[in-house]
Amino acid sequence: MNRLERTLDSDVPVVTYRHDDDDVVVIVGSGAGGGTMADELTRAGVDVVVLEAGPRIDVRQFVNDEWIAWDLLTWHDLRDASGTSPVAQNFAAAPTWICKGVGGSTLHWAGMCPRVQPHEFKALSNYGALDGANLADWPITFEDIEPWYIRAEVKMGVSGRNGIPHHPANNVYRILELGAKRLGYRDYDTNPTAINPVPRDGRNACDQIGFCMQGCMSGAKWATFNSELPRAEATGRCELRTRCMVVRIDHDEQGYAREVVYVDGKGVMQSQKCRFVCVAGNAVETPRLLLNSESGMFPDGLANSSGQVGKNYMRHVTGNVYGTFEHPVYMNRGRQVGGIIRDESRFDPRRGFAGGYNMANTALGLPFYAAFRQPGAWGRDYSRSLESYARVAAFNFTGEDMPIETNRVSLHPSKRDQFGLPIPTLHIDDHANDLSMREHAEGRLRALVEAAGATEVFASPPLPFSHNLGTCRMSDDPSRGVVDKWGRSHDVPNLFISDGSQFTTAMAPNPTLLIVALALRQADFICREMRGAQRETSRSRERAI
Amino acid sequence: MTGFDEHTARTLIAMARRLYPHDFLDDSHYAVVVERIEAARDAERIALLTEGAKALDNAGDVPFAERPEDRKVADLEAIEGTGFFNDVRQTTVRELYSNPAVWPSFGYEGPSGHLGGYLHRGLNDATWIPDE
Repeated sequence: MNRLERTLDSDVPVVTYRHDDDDVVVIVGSGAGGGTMADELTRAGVDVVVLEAGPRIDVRQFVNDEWIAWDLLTWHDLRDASGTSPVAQNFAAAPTWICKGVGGSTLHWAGMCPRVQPHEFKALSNYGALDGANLADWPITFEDIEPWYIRAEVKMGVSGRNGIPHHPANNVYRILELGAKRLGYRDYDTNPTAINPVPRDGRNACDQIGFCMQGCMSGAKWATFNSELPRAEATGRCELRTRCMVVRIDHDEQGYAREVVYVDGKGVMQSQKCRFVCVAGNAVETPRLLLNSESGMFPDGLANSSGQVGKNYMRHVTGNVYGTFEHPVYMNRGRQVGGIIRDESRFDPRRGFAGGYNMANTALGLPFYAAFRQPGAWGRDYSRSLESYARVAAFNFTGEDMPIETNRVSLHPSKRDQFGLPIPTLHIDDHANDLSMREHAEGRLRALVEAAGATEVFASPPLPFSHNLGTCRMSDDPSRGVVDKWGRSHDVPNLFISDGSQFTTAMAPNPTLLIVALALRQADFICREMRGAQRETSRSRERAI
Repeated sequence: MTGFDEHTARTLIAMARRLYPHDFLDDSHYAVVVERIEAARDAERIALLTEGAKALDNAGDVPFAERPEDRKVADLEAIEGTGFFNDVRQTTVRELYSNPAVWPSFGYEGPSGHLGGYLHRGLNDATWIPDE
């Protein structure tokens, strides 16, 4: 059976492990982090159980319809938000846009893979201490991650890199390019994305359908449900349990994680013993799970002796700018992020803010354009402005936001979810640096679309966040971070964080590529630890971990 | 109760049109909003919206649907932020623009997967964009 066929199957696993088998590695979540861990660990001969809260989504369920896809793919569980961020104001019940299903948010990601720059690993050293920001340097350098980065790019098949061709230009890209040239920018192209421009690795070539974020109907976009997970399952060492919502991780008297408790698809409480746990539930659910796992030994939540679990929540400085042109653009045609300009991602404090941002052209269908160009707007002026849809080109920016300790994921004091657990609540204030960057980025994009000949320009506030980061930050110092440079908990030696929660700072690039690179490196570390433990075992007849 | 009485439905259709007016669309496109709410079969919601429509009617001498445009706008501005207003506005913005029947009027091409995408169908056909 080929891998794409496998993804069409039901929720039946290919192998089953006993719930009291304490030799398996339990991976919580099947997205970019969890899916990569499953592939890498099984490839090295390790038995894994992946617990995924959502179902397998049949690729035949993908539709070119924004709201139907939203209903199908989105993580809809209750959330709450507060703070001065426009997202907390406009979308308090849905401050994030992530997915629930096998593949996690790789189901809807647009495939953007900008590279991190070396200076971004040293935010504190380069930007200096900023008032109100909890900046730090990463405990790893660009040189540490670079080999894993290249491996991640090759694995995911990023276009325009490592010998893979670029994608062809669409109409909106040509506008982006025209504006970029007229503003004097130099570093732009049709955007390296983990979407096949040519058939590769069992995936098809992109038909330039559009609707990347609604589930790729070409079967060209890299996602763990069509790459890492079927590969892991093919080894016979990966049991993927779907519709299993992990609610708690229990530990033994020595403080080792020993059991992962979850509610299965029938609503029955289950548990799985484990050797290691890798948590990759996205930066809201990951800290929420740790906070919900409090115990006598860890009264503030599992692995939270630092008090940093849930804090320093980051989500990038984002926003959209739209230009109306005299002639048709049809932004709906082709990849949803068909081009990128990297000039503003540089380190240049003269612009009045620390950090950098990337600009891209993007696409919304009429349904999302009407709902999100100006959230909450109504009336004749607004509806008339929607009538020029076919002549509108959309652009966005994504930049580094500041970690703020009070921006955090915490447990709601009273609201409970369908499992009876406190729902996560997000506090999101914008830092002054975020606001300066947004103003600059919006200004540059306005200038760009005007330079390209737009007759009317609109800017919109940020939309629910898909880049959720930092809530279990990485630090060498156990009092200042949750995990070490391998993503291993300082408090619980067999607990790893394998998603964007471990980011020390947000950096400008879209985070998936780095999440995958960190997971590759972490899986390699875990395998080396296990081999070390085996040698230890044969000597002392006692398992170290 | 899982449906609206005729008068309430007419009031809600008039409200949907005032929220997102497009003179080239006839009332059937706004009626879709009411149909979608009814399809959800949520008696509590139907009751809340019926009550809201009634309050909107009671805010003037003639029924809401019969008032002039500027009066309707003022009456809607007065209730902006209420649960009734938010529900009708959110439902309208979602249902009106996701109805394939209105897409051609906006130049929105909708799904393309079944047509093989745009790789060989106008991906880069805007000849008006200069090459510099």
